[in-house]
Amino acid sequence: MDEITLVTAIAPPAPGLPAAVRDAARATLLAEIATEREARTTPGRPTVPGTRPRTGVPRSRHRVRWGIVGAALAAAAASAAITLLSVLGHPPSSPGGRAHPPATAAAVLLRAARATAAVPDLHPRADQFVFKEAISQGPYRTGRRPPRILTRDWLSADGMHGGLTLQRYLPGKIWVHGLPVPDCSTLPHSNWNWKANCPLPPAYVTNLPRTLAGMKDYLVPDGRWGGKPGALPPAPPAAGALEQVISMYQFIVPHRTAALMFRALSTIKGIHLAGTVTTLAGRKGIATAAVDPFRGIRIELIFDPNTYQYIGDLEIAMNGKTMHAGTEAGNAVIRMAVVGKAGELP
Amino acid sequence: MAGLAAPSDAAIIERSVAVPECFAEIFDRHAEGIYRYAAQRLGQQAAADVMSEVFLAAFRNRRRYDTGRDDARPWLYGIAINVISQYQRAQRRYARVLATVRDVPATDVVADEVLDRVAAAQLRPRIMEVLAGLSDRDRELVLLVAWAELSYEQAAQALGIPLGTVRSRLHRIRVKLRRAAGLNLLPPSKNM
Repeated sequence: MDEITLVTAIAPPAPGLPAAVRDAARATLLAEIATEREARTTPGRPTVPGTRPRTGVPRSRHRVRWGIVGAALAAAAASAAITLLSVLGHPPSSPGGRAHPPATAAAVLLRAARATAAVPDLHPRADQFVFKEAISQGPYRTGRRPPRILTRDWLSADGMHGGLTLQRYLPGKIWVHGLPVPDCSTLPHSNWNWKANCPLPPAYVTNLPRTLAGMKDYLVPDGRWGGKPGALPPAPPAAGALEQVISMYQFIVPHRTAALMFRALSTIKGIHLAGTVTTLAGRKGIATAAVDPFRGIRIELIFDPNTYQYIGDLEIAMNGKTMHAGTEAGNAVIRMAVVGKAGELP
Repeated sequence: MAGLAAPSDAAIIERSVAVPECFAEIFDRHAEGIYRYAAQRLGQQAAADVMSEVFLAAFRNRRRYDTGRDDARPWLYGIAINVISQYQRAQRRYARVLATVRDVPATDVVADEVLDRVAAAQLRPRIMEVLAGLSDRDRELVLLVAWAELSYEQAAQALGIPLGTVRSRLHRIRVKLRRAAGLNLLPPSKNM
C-alpha cells in the first residue's frame, strides 16, 4: 500500500446520488437549457407593459399598496404575488431532505431557483383567470399600525377577459369590491372604457428576459431615477433588484422565468441572509435582504425554509425617512390557482 | 455486427453548442461521480447544491471546452474544486459571524468537515494531520487523485497545471505522508 492509497483508505464513504436530488438538479439544468434555447429563437428584446422602462422615463420606486377601496386595476398592479401553485399548503417535496441550512443569501436564492424550476407551470389558457389570495400591509408614518388587508384577485390570463378584486380588513367579515375590471373581449373599441383601459396587461407574462445576463440587467437599476429636486437617489443595485423582483410578481410568469430571477439575484452583490423572519401571514421563512439607505428600509424576500418556495416579502423601516421607524410593510401569499371564472374559488 | 460505440464526452459537448439539449447526457454520465466527491468533501447536504452548480457552470462554459479531450471528468472536477472552495469560504465567513453573535469560537462551530468525519471514524489520525497541514492547492491535488481517482494527467487538466508540477507536488506530499505514517520507503503508485 503506497501513500496515496493510504489517503484513499481513509476517505469518508461516498454515498450514492439520491433520485430526488438527481431529478431536482437535472430539472434545474434543463430549465437553463430551455432558457438558452428560447433566447435563441425569440427575436427582439422582451418588454412588459407597465414595468421597467427603457426609454429614459424613470420607473416608479414606490410600489402601490392595496387600499381597501382601491381600484381593481391598481390593486392588480400593486399585488406582489407568487407564480407557483404550490406556494402554500402543497409544497413540492424538498429534494435531498436538506436539514443543513444555507450559509449565504446566494445559496438560498439558488435553492429557490431549483425548487421553482422543478414545479410544473400553471399554463393558464387565455380565457382563464389566475386566482391569488394574499395578506398585505401598507406603509404608515404614524406609530399606529393600520389593519392588515386580505385580498382575493382574479386576474385575466391574457388581460382581455375582465377580472375581480375583493378585499377585507383582518380581522373583519365584510368584503369590499374593487372597481369593475372591463371585459376587453366584449367591449366595442369605440366604448370609453375600452379607450381608457383596454387592453389590460396580461396576468400571465411570458416575454421577460430569458438569459441570466438579460435578467440581471433587467433587475439592476440603471441609476437614473426621478431627477426632480428633493427626490431620493436611486436605490442601490441589490435593493433595487429585490424591489423589481417583488414588483414583477404582480404578474404571473413561467417558473423558469421565476427561477431565472432568483439565479440572477444570487449573482448581485449586497443581498445578505437576514435569518428567520415571520411573514404577514404568520409563517416562518428564510429571508434574503438588501438595504436602501436613502429610503431607510430593509427589503426582504422570504422563502419557505423547507421547500424554498417564495412565500412573501417585507419592507422594514430602519428609521423614519419614509415609514415610521420599526414598522413593517409587505405581502404574504396564501394561495394561488387557475380557475375558469372570475369569482370562482379553487 | 459490432455495436456502435457511445459518443465521447467531447463529441457530446461539441454538439451541445448547437443543440443545447444534448448537454443533459453529460449530466447523466457524470452527476453521480461529482456528487460523491462533493459529498466526501462537504457532506451530503452541501453536495446537492455543489453538484447542481457544477453542471450549470459547465453548461454555461461549454463553448470553451477543449474538444481534444474525450473525457470531460477533469474539466468537471476542475469546476467542482472551484465551487467547493467557494462554499468552504462562505462557510468560514458564516462561522466567524456566528461566533461573533454567539460568542463561540469559530473553530468549534465549523471545522473542516472532511477532517471531522474521517477523524471520527478513527482512521489514520496521523494521515489526517498531514492533510490538514497541506496547502489548499496540495490538498485539492491529493484528494483528486486519492478520492476522485483521477489520473495524474487528469488531475493536471482539472487544476490547470503541468503534469510535471503534479508529479513533483505529489512526491513532496508522499514524503510527508510517509513520515507521518512511520512507513519505510514504499514502491510508487501505478500513476507515476
